[in-house]
Amino acid sequence: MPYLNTVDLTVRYPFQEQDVLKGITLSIEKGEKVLILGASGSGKSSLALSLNGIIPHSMEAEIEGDVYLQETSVNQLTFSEVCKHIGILFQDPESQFCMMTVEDEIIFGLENLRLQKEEMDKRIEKSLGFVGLEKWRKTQLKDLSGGMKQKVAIACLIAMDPEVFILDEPTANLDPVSTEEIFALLFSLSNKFNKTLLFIEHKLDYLLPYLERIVVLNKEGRVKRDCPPRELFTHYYEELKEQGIWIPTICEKAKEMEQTGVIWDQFPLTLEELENECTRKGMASLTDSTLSLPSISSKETVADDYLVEVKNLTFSYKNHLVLNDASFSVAKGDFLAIAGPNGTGKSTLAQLLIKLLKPTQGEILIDNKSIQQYKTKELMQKVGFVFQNPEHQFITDTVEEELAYGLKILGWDQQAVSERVDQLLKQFNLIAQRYSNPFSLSQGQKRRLSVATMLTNNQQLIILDEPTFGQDQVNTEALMQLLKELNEAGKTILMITHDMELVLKYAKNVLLLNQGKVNYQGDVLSFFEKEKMLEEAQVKAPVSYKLAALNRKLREGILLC
Amino acid sequence: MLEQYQMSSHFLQQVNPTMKLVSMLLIIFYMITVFDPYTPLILLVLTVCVIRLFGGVPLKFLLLILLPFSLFSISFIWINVVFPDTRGTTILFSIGSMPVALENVLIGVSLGLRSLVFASWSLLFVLTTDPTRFMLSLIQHCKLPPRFGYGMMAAYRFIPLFKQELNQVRAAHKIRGLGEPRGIKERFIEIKRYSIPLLASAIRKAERVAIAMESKGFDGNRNRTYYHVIHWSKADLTFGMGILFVFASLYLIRVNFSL
Repeated sequence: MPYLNTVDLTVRYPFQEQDVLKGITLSIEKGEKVLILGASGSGKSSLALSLNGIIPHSMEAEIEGDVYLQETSVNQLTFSEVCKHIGILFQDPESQFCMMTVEDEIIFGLENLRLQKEEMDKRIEKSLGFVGLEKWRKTQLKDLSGGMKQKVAIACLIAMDPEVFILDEPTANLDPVSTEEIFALLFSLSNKFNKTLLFIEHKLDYLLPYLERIVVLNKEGRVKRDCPPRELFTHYYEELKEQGIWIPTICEKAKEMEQTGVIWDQFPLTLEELENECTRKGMASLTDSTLSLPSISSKETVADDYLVEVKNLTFSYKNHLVLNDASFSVAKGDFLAIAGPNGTGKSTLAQLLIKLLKPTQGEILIDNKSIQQYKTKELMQKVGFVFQNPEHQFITDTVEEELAYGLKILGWDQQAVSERVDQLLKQFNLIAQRYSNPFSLSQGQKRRLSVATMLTNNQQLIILDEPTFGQDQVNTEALMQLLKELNEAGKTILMITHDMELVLKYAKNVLLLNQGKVNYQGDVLSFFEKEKMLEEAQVKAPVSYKLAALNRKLREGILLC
Repeated sequence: MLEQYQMSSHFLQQVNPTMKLVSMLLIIFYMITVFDPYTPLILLVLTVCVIRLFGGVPLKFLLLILLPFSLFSISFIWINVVFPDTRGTTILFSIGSMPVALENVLIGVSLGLRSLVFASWSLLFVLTTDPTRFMLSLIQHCKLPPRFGYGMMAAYRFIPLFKQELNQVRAAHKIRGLGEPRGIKERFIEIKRYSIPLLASAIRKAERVAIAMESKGFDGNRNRTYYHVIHWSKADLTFGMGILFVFASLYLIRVNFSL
């Protein structure tokens, strides 16, 4: 008897032409670790909310079929009964709490279960102990970092002790180190107490080895595949690509190698498996052809003509030293990634560059002129700045006006404005949305528009503060491609990011900021070689880089023989 | 910022929030019946001292918050002097051709001090009450449905977040070349521009929080247990006696000095 099963579940939201979920029949056993995979808009989150009865109890929707917990239909249970069986961990750490302190938030759930005080105390201690936050019991939630908030959210669920944990992209807003911690916590939870884990997730590289089963939803909201991961990536690789689903880096390389004639005994899902397979087969390298890192020579070195010069920059905020005597220069045409752990002043640095903040000491030159000497309007024509949340930048009612806005301020005439707007709409693939309200666009369109508004008058420098945060794979890829094109057209790009895969693939140079100081500035490959420095700054080399290292190892192995 | 006062372990912080709320309302009603300037003055000084001594709030901080309120109350004096209902007969001096009468000044001072008493009692409540305890007390003693109580808590949590977000929106708009607004019309347009992104994110957040609360088993009805039970304690008795004592003394003073 499966613990949780859905029978022919169909869900349609009001005023929608199409069902989000269509005829879903799934059964999940106790202790299983399942991943729900699907492109954006394939109804993954709707499925999660249908499983615990939020749909249709509190979110209006037409629903057919049924969801059963053991043998009871979810629709016959109240919320406080359902949550003894199913707990959901959500994506946004800010908006899943309703109380002020860590303790009170856990208590909130336990009170809903109508437990007695002694039992609550036991459960609070146990759950905080499990996530390692005993010392933070009385702390205000707002004083915690994003990663710690997610740990508190996990503790809340553990305290309520459900059988099934649904994890709806819980790490989408977290940095790589916190992401790994959260996953490790979840798997130890599953192993220790035999809990069922149901993931909805894009970050597969880390997750894959632990999963037992992947359910693929297609764009119509139907279950397309339901099988173990190895089988899925071996047999249905093309199908996944077609659906716009992100493929783990290792699987992608393995498939590439398969096309060059390699036959796998066991299709590799992790780096270790790939290495073992290769050594066993005595392969000289991963492939001889295309599979390699972007070598230093292929990324043309940039001229030493500087666009930005930062000299001895110091900034303190409320007696707290954020930037400490940082100096560096950015050459014209560079694509510079700024990396570093959370809270080391990356965003502060970016805001100093556009005069949103004033340095305590030191100087910033743009085009050989101190930025203090620029008027805001002049600086705006030199530098574009893209914020993390695109919505914050929108000031008008249509996409077209949004693009024309900056040009009008500069006093361009009507003709020139409309020509430039047309050009931008085309370049950023927003022609169909010309008269739409910026707030009604999709995530990816909003992101593109926010970049486009920053290019209206040919700014030479574009600064982006974590532009791919919370974006899905397709949008991320599209945005990066756009930035690459802009960079090739001569724009200088300065991007704050946590995503090292993007750094390796797109950036020309990296600047590592740690504890307010510049620890490294130089090309990407040498950056990832400095293992000790990376470890100190909590930066992890991406899988592609590790692949290249493996490639080198295999080649050297052959030479030694 | 206020938590350090709200959470401290002084006497006022231990009084039941409902008790404080009721006495605040009593004081406000009482003040409506008073027209002399001395009663509110006594009450104001007393309240400030109580907040300092039994609430542990530094005097400097307290006076700093009261400062904007005092500007407001000075305006009462001005209004009563310049636009009196009936001009008094005891002329103190004249500003230009306008006579300033003692009676009008006193009424102005009385009204001004009254508003300061309201402000100081609100501060007594806000600075010494933990919002969570307040909400629990309303649910446990005043029959507030949990649906609203916990809903209010969730909303309260978002206030600092909105402040942060407003700053980001402001910065983002500044980058796009929008300067400080000039004149009322521009200010109005600015408010509209800021409110759309903030509203959009508020609605989204509210929906998410509601879903998160329900998926933790919250159904809004009264059938739940409480970890923190807000008790009636000796502190409440002492506080209540104190309030009675204040009213009694004020009554005696007012009778004796026929205010």
